Amino acid sequence: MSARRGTVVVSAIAVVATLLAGCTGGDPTPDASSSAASATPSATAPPEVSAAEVADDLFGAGVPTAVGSTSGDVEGGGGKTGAVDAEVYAVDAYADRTLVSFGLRSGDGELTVAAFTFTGPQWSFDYLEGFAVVDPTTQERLEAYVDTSTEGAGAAHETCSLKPKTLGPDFYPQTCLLPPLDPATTAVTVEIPNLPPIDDVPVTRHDAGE
Amino acid sequence: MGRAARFTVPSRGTATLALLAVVLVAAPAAPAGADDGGIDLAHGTVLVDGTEVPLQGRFAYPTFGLAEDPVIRGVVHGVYRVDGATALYYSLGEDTVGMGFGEANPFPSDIQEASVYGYNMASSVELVDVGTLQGFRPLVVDGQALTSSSTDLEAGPGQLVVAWALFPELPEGTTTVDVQIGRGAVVADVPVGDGALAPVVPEAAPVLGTGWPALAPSDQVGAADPAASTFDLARRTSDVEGVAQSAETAEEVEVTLDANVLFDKGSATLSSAARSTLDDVAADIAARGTGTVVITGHTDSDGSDADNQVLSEDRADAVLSVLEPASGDAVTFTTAGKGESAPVASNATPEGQQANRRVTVVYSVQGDAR
Repeated sequence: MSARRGTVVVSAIAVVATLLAGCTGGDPTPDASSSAASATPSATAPPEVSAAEVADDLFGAGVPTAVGSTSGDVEGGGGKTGAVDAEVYAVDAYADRTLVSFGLRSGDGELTVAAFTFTGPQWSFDYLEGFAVVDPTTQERLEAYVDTSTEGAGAAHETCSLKPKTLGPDFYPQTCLLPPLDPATTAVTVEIPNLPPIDDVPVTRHDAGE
Repeated sequence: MGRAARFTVPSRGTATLALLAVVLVAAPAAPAGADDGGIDLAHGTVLVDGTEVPLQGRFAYPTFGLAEDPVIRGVVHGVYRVDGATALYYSLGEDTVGMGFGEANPFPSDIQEASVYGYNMASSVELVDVGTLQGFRPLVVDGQALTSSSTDLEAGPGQLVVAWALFPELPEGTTTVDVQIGRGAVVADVPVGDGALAPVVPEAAPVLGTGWPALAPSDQVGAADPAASTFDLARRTSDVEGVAQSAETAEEVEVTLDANVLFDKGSATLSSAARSTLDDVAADIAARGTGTVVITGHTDSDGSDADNQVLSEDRADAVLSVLEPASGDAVTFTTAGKGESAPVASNATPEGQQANRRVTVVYSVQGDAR
């Protein structure tokens, strides 16, 4: 193969590869082992994929795009104050619950999250005390569900991720399950304790029919 | 690594172009049922080596809660009604060091509650039923959770293995639940299906796509006490100003009223701002309240015990004077003052003192929750 012909082939491969990437928006595309089944999909048959492809989708997802963010200083361990960044990735509204996905990171080296960091007057050691969403339609503040058998004991189970022990340069993933939003609500305020509130966070609706 | 990177480029130029052109035409942009162009991990079903694999939502959490920890990632396969119990199936793994002894531990000791669920059990999993305001933890027999053992959850980097847990039977009308795994990561709105997944394989934690693990046998399920693994949840809401905070269970509502707004400082005289808040509480009591409404006043620790006791009683009576006439005939009222004896926060800080100055209104409800 001549050098010129080789250059053309490489260029063509690059164009085709670019087209492939464009078709998928840069997201993963089935490999050869699964393309045969996927190329002839039926109305009912699920697509054939390998376990590695499922794992690739799971592990290769990366950090989601933020739909809201805030930053501020919080008290960490050892009497130090540290900068913290927060990003909200989604506020998913279902008919009878709301799921908030968000991340926290240190803005200034590693930050030890002390027992009293991200707490309110009740000094919850395990959860972000006071994490809430404000629904502008109902003018209600919604907080996580809590296990009433241990409420007030400082270790009550909540429907949120446990508080991080330390924060570093990468966003630490968190989720929190809250009561439902009003069906008409399209944006909310997210309140993370010790940080400025995040206004106008768009809501993704998963109500019946959507 | 995305799957596009798995296309290998043959060495022959013309043949390469032809092959790539065929691939470009034949390969769809994404599998059926995909979101974001990839596999739909939230609401999809795929066939992995002939095994049908439901996918109901992903989760992620750093193993021990430290910033530098390996991140456990996984996907919930489903929640199913089985004989005498409810089964949860999920897969999990870690993509840098893998999971297992000496590697990433998905259920470290600080989240295991070994005194209840036994050592080395994948017991930090819960089901949440927001419809009935109940939560469910794994069934326990002889001090051991009916779940996968965490020591069985071994996987190489980037590999997923399947785990399971058994919970009490869900209420009959429950069609979806929320799942919490590991360090409390939530997968929301998981549909409740029927029957255990098949085919069942002998491995305790099979690699994803090779079959499903066996659940605990029926005699163990029958020996468990479902009530011990069931807990009540409170739904917590408040008005934007935080004057009235409501914690509602399936049977009862507790409204905590901020005495700093309801009353003038050190007084039992209701402020002008109190009226609309108390009207809202009365309206809810009139709509669905039943039995006895208990109104209790509390103070911070400033001042003498005797003065605080009197102030708390007077404030409870002041709230009664507004609620009773507007709450209908289906309920009766009782009042109490607890002075500074029942704080909910430390009196060492101004914020704590403010939280302790409160009046609570507790009433039973009938009918559906709001």
